[in-house]
Amino acid sequence: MAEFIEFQDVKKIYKMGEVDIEALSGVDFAIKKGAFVIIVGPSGAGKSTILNILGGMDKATSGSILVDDNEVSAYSDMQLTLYRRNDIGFVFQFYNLVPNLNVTENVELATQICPNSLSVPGTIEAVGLKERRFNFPAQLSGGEQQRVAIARAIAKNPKLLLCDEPTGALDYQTGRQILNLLQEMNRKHEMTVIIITHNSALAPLGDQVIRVKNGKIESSVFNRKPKKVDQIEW
Amino acid sequence: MIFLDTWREIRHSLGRFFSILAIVCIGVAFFAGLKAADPDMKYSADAYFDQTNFADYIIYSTYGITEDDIAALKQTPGVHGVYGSYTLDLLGRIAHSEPVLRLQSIPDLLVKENPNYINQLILLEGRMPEKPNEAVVAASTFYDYKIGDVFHLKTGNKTPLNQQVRYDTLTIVGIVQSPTILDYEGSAATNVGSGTVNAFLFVKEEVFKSDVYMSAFVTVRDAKQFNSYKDDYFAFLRATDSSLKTLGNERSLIRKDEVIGKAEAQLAEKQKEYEEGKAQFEEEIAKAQAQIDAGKDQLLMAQVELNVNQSNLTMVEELAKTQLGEFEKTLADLQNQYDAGKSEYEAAKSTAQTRKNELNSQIAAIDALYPNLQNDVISLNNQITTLQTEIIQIQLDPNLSDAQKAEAVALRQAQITTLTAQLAPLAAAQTERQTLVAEVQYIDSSLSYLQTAIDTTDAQIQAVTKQYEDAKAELAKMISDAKAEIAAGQRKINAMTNTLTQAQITLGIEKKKGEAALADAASQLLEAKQQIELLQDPKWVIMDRTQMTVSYVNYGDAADRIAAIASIFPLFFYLVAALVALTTITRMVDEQRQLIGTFKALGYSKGTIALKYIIYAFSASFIGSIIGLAFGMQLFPLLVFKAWGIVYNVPRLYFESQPGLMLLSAGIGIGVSILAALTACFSELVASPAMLMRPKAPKNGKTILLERFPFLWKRLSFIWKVTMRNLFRYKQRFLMAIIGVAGSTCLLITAFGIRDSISAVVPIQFEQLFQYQLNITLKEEYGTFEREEFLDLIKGKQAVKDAILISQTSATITYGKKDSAVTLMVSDQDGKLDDFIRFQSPSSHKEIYLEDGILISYKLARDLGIKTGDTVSIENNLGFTASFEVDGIVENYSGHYIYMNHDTYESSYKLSTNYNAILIQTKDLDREGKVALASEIGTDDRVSYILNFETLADEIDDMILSLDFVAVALIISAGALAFVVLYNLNNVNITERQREIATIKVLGFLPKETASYINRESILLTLIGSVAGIFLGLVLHGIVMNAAELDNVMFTRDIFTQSYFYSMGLTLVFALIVNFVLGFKIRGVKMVESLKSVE
Repeated sequence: MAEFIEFQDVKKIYKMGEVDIEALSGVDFAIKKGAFVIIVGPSGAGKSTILNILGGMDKATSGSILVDDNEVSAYSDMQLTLYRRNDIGFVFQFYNLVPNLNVTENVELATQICPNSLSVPGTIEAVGLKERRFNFPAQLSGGEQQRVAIARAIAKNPKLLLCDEPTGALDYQTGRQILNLLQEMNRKHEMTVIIITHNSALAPLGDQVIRVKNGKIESSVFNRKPKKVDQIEW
Repeated sequence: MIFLDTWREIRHSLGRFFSILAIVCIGVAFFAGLKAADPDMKYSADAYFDQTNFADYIIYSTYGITEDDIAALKQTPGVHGVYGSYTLDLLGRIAHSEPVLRLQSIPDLLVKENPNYINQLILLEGRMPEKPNEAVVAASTFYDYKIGDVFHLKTGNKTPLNQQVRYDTLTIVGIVQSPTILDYEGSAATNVGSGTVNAFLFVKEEVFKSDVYMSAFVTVRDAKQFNSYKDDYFAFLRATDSSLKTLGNERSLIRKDEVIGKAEAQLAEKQKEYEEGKAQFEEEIAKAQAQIDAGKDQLLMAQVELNVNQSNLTMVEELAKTQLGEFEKTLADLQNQYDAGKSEYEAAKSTAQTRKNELNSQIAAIDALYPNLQNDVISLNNQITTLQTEIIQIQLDPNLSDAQKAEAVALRQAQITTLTAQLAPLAAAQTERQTLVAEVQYIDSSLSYLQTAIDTTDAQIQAVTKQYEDAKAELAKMISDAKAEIAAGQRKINAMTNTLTQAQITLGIEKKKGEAALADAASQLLEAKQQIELLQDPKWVIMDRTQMTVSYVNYGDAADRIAAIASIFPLFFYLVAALVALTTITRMVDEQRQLIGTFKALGYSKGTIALKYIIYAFSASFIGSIIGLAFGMQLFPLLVFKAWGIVYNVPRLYFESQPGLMLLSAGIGIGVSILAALTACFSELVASPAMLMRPKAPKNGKTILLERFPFLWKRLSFIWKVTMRNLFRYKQRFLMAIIGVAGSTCLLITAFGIRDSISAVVPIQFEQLFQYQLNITLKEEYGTFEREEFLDLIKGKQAVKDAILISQTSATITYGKKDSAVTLMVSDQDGKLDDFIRFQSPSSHKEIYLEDGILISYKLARDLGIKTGDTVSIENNLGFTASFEVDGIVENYSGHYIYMNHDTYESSYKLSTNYNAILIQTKDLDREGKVALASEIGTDDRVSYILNFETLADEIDDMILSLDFVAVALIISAGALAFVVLYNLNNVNITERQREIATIKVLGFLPKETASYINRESILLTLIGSVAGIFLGLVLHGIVMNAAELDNVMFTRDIFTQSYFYSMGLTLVFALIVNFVLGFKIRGVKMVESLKSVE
C-alpha cells in the first residue's frame, strides 16, 4: 500500500527580525491512507507547525510534502485554498464555530463550498446532536461545540481529518466522548485522521504514533493493536 | 502612564482614531461652516456697503427734492453726506432692441473721500463718464452691454425727450458695479416700456432737465462701524430717523406752498390757454361754417345757371324746328314750281318739236326747190349790181357816144329787167324761208327760255337746300354745345355738392373732436383744480436700507435661510460622529477588558482608567474639530457665497471672526465624542476586576425575525444568514452605518437634485408650459391697425407656425394684506392663448381652461395664500382696480402671471384691451434659426423688445454650470461621510471577527468569498442607508430649494430618475472603495489566528 502522506526533509524557518527561528528542521514521515495517527510532543516541539503545513495553512520553507500523490509543497495560494476546501477537515482546539450560526448552519458553512459533501442532518445525527441542531454555539456545552466542529469537518467528506488538541479545552469525560467519535469516524468512513496532542496518554489509540521533539521527528511507531478509548486513562 | 498608553493605543489603531477624527472634522466643518455662512455673507455685504459709501437712507418726496431740501438735510444732526439724485427711466434703442434704461446721476467729484458721493460705483472696466453724453452701465448677467455701445434715447412716456434730458444719445464708456443693485437681475419695475428695467446707467447730472431731484441719498455719521444686518445698526439710526422725520415735516410744508403756488400759476395759464383754445375753436368752426354757406350759395347759382341754359336749349331747339320748317316749305314750293315748269316745258317742248318739224319740212321743201337759193339770190344780186355798175361806168364812159351809151345802157337795162324778173320768186322764197327759220328760232328760243326758267328753279332749290343743310348743322351744333354746357354745369354742381357734403361732415367731426378735446381739457382743468384743492401735504418718504432696495432684504433673507439649513443639517453629522465614536470606543473597550481589569486590579481609579478613552476621544475630536473649523469656516461660507453669487453681486467674501461659533461647534464635536467614550466604558468600569479578567461571554446568536419565514430564510446562503444576524445583533453599528450612508446619499440626492430642479425649469417652463418661442413687446405709439398688420406680417413668415396678438402688462395683485407685482396676460381676440400657454394643474398636470375667471401662477398663489375660488383685486397698469374670481392655479416656474380673457378684462375694467404683445410659435427651428427669426422681426419699427426663450435658456444654463461646484463640494462631503462610516463599520467588524475570518479561511473559503463574508454586511447597510437617504434627500432638497428660491422664480421639486441612480450608485461606489481598501486587511488575517486561544 502506497503512502498517503509523505513528509520529506521538511523545514520551516520563521524570520523574526534578525533572528531565524527553525520551527522544523528536516522532518520526514509517512502516513498510510485510513490510518488513525497521533502526533504527540511537548509545547513548542513543532507539532502545530506540522499541522499548519499539512493543513495548507502555512508553507514549508523547504522539503516536499506529498498528499495522495499531489505535491502540496509546490501549491500556490489558490491551490492551497482549494486543497483546504476539498481535501482537509479541521477540528480546532477552541472549536471555532461561528457564533451567529446555529448548529446546522455551522455545518452548512462547510458543506456549502464543498462539492462531494455528506448530508448535513445525517452528519449532525452521527455526532449525536440531532436534538440540538437549531441551537446556537453559545447555547451548547464545550463537548457539544466540539461535536459540531467535528461534524463541520467530516461533513465535507475530506480525505484527511486534522484535529488540533481536540480535547484540550474539554473535561475528561467529554474528551473521551470526542475521541470516541473521532475513532468511530475513522473506522466507519475509513477517513485518515491525524490528532495532534501534547498528551502522550493518547498515544495508544493511534495506528501510528509520531513523536515530535525540537522540530524533529523523534520516532514514528506503528501500533499493531491500537487501543479503544475505553481502554486508556489519563 | 495613562498618556503613554493612550499614545500607543492611538498609534496602534490609527484607522479608528482617524474615523473619529474625520467624522468630527466633517461634522464641525459642516456646522461651523454653514453657520458661519450667514454672518459671513452679511458681513461681506456690509463691508461692501461701507466701501461704496452705501446710503443709509433714501428720501423721496412726492414733489421732488429741492436744493434747499438738500441744504437743510446737510444741516441735520447725525447726517454725514447727502446727495440729491436724478433718476429717469427712458427707452434706449441699440441695434434692433429697445431696452428700458434707468438713468441715475452721479456727482462730479468721483473720489472716495467725497462724503457726498454716496452709493459709489466700482469701476470694473473702462472709465467713468467725463462728458454728459457718456454713461457707465451696471454689470448684468442678462444684458451684455459693452464699452462703445451707443443708446439712442427715446421717451418712455408722453413727455417729449427733450424736456427730460439734454442729450439724445449716451455712449457706454465703462462697466461698473453699484451697491444699489445687489441682485444681478436688478429686477426693478418701471412704468416705461416692457415694465422692467433692463439696464442701469449712471450719467453726469447735467444730462437731466428736471428742476428738482427725484431723491436724496443720506449717509449717517459713524453708522459704518455697525453691521447693517444687525440690530445695533438700526438702534444707532433711531436718532437720525426722528430728526429726518422732523425735517421732512418742515420741508414738506414749505414745499407744499411752493408747489401750490406753481400749480395755481400753471392752472391759470392753462385756463387761459383753454379759453383761447375754445375761442379759437369756435372761430374756426364759424369760419368753416361760413365757407360751407358760401359754397351752398355758389351751388345755388350754378343750379340757376344750369336751368337758364336748359331753357335756352329748349328755345334753340324750337327755333331750329321753325326755321328748318320754313326752309322745308320753301324747298317744297320750289320743288313744285320746278316740277310745274318742267312739265310745262316738257309739254311746250313736244308742241314746239311738232311745229319745228313742220317748219323744218317746209324749209326742207323750199330748200329742195331752190337748192342754192341763197347763192342764187346772191349771184343774181351780184349780177344786177355788176350790171348796174356797168351802166354807171358806161354812162360815165367818155369814149362812148351817147347812143352807144343809150344802146349799151338799154341792153343792160333789159338784162337787169330779166334778171330782176328772175330774182323775184327767188326773193319771195327767201323771205318765206326766213320767216320759217325765224319761227323755228323763236320756238327754240321759247324752249330755251323755258329751260332757263327750270334751271333757275333748280338752282334755287340747290341754294335753298344748301341753306337748309347749313342751318340744320348750325342748329345741331348749337344744341350740342348747349347740352355739353348743361352737362358740365351738372357735373360742377355734383362736385360742389360733394365738396360741400364732405366739408359738412368734416366740420361735424372736427366740431365733435374739438368739443371733446375742449370737454377733456375742461375736465382736466377741473381735475387740476380739484387736485390743487385736494393737494395732499407733500410727504417725505424716508426709507432705510430695508425699504430702499428689495435686494438688501432678500440678501439678508437668503443668508438667514442658510442659517436655517445650518441648524438642522449638521446635527445629523454630529449624530453620526457620536455613533462612530461610540462604536469605535465600545470595540476598543471590549478588546481591552482584561487590560481594564488589570488596571483596576492594580488599583487605578475608574476615572483614571476612563481617562484613557476620554483622552483618546478628546484628542481625535479635538484635532478633528480644529481641522474642521479651519476647512469648514473657509470652505462653506465661500461655497454658499459663490452659490448666491449667481444672484447677488457682492464683490468679495470677508470672514467675520466668530469665536462663539467656533467654540460651540468644536465643543459639540468634542462633547459628543467624549460622551460616547464615557458611555462605551461605563459598563466595564462598574464591573468587578475579576469579571473583567474573564473573557466576555460572546454575544449570543439569536433567532431573528426573518427566520420566522422559513421559505425566505432557507433560500439564504449561510453568508447571508450571518450577515442578517450580525445586522440585528449590533444595533449601534447598524444605526451608525444606516444614518451615515443615508446622510451620504441624502447629500448626493441634494447635490444632483439642485441641478435637476434648476435645469428642469427651462424645459418645463419654456417648452411644456410656454409653447411659444418669441415674445415681442410692441411700441405704444402704434395703433391697433398697425399691430394687426404686423401680426399678419409675422404669420406670413416661413419660419412662423402661428402667432397671436395679446395684451401683456404689469399689474399688482392684492389678496388680504399681501400684494405682488405680476404680469397680466389678456387673451387674444380669438381666444387662442391656451394654444400658446399650457394651463395645467401643478400637481396633477391636468389641463385647466381659461374661462370667465382668472388663472394665476402657482408660486404667486402660494406666496399670497390664494386658493381656487378666492376673490382677488388686481390693479392694472393704468391704475384701475377690479375684483376677479380665481378659477384656477396653474403650474409656472418663472415669473408671476395672471391670465384672463379679454372679455373678462373689458367687462371688469370697462376698458378696451390694449393688445401690445405678440407671441410667436416657430416651426421646428434650431437655435440659429430662432435667433435669425428674432433679429429679422426685430428690424421692424413696431417692435419694442423681443424676448427669445432660447437665449434665456442659455443664461439659465450658465447659472446651472456655476452651481456645479456646489454639487462637487456636496459630493465630496458625501463621499467623506460614507467613507468614514463604512470604513469604521468594516474596520470594527474585521477586528472583531478576525477569528471567524481565519476559521473560514481555514475551511477553504476563497479570498473573494472571505471578503464578501464581511463586505456583504456593509453593502447591505449601504443599500438600506441609500434608500433611507433618498427620503432624507428629498426632504433636504426641498429645504435647500426653498431656501434658494427667489421671489419670482420657483424651482421644480422634481429630481430626475437618473439622479436617484447616480446617488445610490455613488454611495455604492464609496462602499465598494472602502471594501476594496479593507480587503487588504481581510487578506492580512492569518489563519493561525484560528488556532489561538480565545482571549
